[in-house]
Amino acid sequence: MVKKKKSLASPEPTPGGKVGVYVCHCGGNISDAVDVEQVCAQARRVPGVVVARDNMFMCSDPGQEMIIEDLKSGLVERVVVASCSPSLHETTFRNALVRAGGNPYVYEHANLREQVSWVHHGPEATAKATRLVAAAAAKAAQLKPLDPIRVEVRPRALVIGGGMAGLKAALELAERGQAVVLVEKSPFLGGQVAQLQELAPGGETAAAVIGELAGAVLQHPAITVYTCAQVEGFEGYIGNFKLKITRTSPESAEYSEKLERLSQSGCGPGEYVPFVGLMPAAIPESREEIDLEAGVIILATGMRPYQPRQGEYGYKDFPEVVTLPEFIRALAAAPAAGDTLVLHGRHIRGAALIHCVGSRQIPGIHEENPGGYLNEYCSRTCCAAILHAANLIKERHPQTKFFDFYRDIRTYGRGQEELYTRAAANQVLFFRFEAGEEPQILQNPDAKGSPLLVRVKDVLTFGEELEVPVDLVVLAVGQEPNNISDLVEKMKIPVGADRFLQEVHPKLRPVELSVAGILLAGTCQAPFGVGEACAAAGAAAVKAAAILSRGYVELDPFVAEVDLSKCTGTGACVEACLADGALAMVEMEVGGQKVQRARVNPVMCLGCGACVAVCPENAINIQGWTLKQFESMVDMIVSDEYLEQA
Amino acid sequence: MALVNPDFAAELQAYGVDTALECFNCGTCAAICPLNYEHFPRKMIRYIQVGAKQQILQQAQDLWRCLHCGLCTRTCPRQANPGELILGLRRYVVAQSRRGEHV
Amino acid sequence: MFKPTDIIDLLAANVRQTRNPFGVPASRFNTWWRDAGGSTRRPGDALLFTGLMYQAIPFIEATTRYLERLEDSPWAEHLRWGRLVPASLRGLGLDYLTAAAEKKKFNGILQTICRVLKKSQVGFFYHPEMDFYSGILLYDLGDQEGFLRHARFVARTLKLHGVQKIITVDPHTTYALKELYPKYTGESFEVTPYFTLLHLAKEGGGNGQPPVVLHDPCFYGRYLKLAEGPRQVLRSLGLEYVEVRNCGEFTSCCGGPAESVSPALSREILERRAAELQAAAAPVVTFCPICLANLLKAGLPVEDLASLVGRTVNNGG
Repeated sequence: MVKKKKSLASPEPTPGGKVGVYVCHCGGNISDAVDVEQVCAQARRVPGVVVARDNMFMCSDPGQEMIIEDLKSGLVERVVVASCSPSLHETTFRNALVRAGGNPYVYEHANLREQVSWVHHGPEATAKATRLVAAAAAKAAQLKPLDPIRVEVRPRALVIGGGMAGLKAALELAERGQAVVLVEKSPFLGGQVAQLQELAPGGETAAAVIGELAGAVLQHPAITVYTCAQVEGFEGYIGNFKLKITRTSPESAEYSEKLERLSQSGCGPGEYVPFVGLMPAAIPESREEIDLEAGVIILATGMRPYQPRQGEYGYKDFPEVVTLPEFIRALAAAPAAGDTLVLHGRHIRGAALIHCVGSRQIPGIHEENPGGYLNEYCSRTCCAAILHAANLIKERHPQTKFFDFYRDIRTYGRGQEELYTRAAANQVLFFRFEAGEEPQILQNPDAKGSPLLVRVKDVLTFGEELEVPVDLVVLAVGQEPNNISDLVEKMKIPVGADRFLQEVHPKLRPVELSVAGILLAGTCQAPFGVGEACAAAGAAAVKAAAILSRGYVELDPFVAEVDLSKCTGTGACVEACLADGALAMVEMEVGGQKVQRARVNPVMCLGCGACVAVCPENAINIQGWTLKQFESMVDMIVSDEYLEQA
Repeated sequence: MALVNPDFAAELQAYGVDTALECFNCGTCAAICPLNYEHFPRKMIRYIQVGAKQQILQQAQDLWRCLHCGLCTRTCPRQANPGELILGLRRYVVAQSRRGEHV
Repeated sequence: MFKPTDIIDLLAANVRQTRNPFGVPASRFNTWWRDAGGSTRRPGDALLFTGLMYQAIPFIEATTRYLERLEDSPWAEHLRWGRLVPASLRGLGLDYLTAAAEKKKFNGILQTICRVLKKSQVGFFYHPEMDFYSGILLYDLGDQEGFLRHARFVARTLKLHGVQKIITVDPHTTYALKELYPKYTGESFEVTPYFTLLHLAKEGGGNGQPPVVLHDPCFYGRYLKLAEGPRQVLRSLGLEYVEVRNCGEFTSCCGGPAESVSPALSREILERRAAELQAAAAPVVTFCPICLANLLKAGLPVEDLASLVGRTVNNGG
């Protein structure tokens, strides 16, 4: 499974010598605070350094060419670039080494921007820069060529979740020729979108989008769909995940309302039913277990709407207070024509819309939710959704008046600002409240009037207290991630403070998790609209397809390595190891005797160094970050031999 | 405390006040008004929106501070025509007072 | 501040009785034309329509001086009875309060306008019996009923006399006739401010006049977007001018319109605008009788566009 690639290095660099130091001005970013020429001059006095040069932009073509020429001419065999952060350009310069025919791991990076010029000024800046460069040069002199770890990939993707994002990801993968297994916990496909009717802002119907997507998924020969299914067992790593899927009949109460709706609709398997979704297969009668191997996993575990507490904005205290999803369901059963909206036989002359329910909660101001947390984020979709609903009704039932109570209105995407403009044109009347001064829902003392009274300290009316009689209150509830703590636990995936799953980098790696080979799609990551969820799912699918179609993955070789000449088999490293399966004691023959010795599985190793710290024999080290290399860095930081005499 | 009366805006249409609901309360009009006075004219427009008839009648004097200079109407981002709304409110108040209502 | 409804009632009563807000028959103060040389109506000629604004300024001034003393004093309350005391505030009393020099200055502007129109070969005539107050103040103050009654009378009378083309001299009357009359009376006229009709090129050459700074009236600069007209006249005469930041469509109000309701407020706004104009360090030129009178009160060196044009044409010719 794990193969060593043919060594990239040719020839082996001379031990301890021929270090080239390249100091970048960063267009003034560094050189405005650091005397770059002085840093070069002092670097030349560091043992092992044969050349030190500077350039306005080392990452530019001429800058890289300079390094490549020195390598090709044989002047330099080891490279230190002192510039911006390694996260920005380390890969750039490692690739320059490869282009020069060298090994990319005989490279060390010194950060003179974030660690020096942006935070220090004057002579101290140049002094610190010099010591960082000297330390990097000392380490570079100790570096050895390394080979990346290559792992073969099982040609199958597992998608967890059968909502819009999961369906979209599965279909995109299948259309790229990859085999997909889609696992859905409930008996239905379509997820939360199936609980809606018209989608904001464009007005496409849930029936149409789910019908089209789920239909294509079910017909695709490369996709296997398991409903009523959950991931119970998980092990392995990118390219080689081993999973146990179980299918069981769901707890009877959980889906009874939907199953009831389904049977009343008279629709068969594979047909879309509003507020249910699409049931592709019968509920299993007995427990089934499926063992599965997959190269990549896409998480599309989705969200659920915030459920208000009893008494929150009068919810459950007054039957006239409903959440937006509940309102949408009631609306589907209401007469479509008439001057005023009629819900359950009641004329709705005035309706209050309240934004930010269960979103943007502030510590110290808002009460914690039953789980002891606050949803501090904006759910992003509720403003558009509730204004879309108001417009729809207002245009159908012109005599129904809407009173919109908001903290802020965030109709942020294409076609969404128009929803707000349209709402204003439809004479929706807006009120603004401050956090902590949320509107109160009261019984209307005027028995002849509407049943409820909304009382608000209205910012738009200069903080005056206003009261609005209404027949209905609709709460624009936010999005919360579904509880997938079992998966989080098994897969060791990072979760943000907002309880949504946390990507590696919000901009540069937005659908990847720090666990290689597991990708993110849709609202398990953050509150999204349907379009955004599908965009994320598409991105995850393409990322997954790229891994699958390449057939192998290469990992950085910064992993533990056992020096068998020193290892005495104490097993301390195995006990200290944080990654399951990365270290094990195995039996082997040393000097004609069968002994227990530590062995590293480089694919599982995190390179954290916990083993290095505990080994009494110094027999284990992290490649590219050995104790010896660290020691040489420390020695050079405290040395004065290369400093210019004042 | 005032009870919101959404029908008031319709009542004012007879006096040429028909753009009040366009206003989204940004306050540009109050910022540019040479009177520089207590959120004028935005406050009056907001009173129209929520139907705070009593507030308008109680503060009716302020309506006649307006110079009809038109800067607010020129700069309004929503074409809510604040200057014309103030003129319309004057017409409304004058008509009320002639009908014998206390102003 | 005065009770607006008291002022409105006073003005409305005056307009009803005398067809102008001052309570004096127009014949008593509309006298400028006697010294302007005759003008005979020929077919196709436009009616010069002053709207009685320039001539009335000296009267407004006198009223304001009178009101300023009363504002926020116990006497303000008595203003309510003003319309019942014709001799004190209205009519004859005011006539005597008005300074002769003031009357001469404002009448002179109208006479100059006549002269430069003739020089520009514009076909027009004037008839005092066909020159009315436009009713704009009633409109501004919210007396829609009073405004409508008066405007319908004016429009009907002009139509009866076969008037189609009208030359105006001030922004308030221009706005009323151009925008309000068609909307509220249903009668439309071809309304042109006098300065857009002037063709005086080559007559002057600037004659070394110092540059002036322009103050655009709100109605011309913003509502009617006619700020370019006066500038063109100045350029054609070789006269230099400078602009203040708040000009044209974004001109600042001089405070004049607040006079009838609150002279104190009017004063405050005037001082702010006067400071802006003063910063330009040049004599001020405006083209509205209300702006002119108000800016004069701030002690600025200010004159009417017509006066400057008239003087330049004289020197050049």
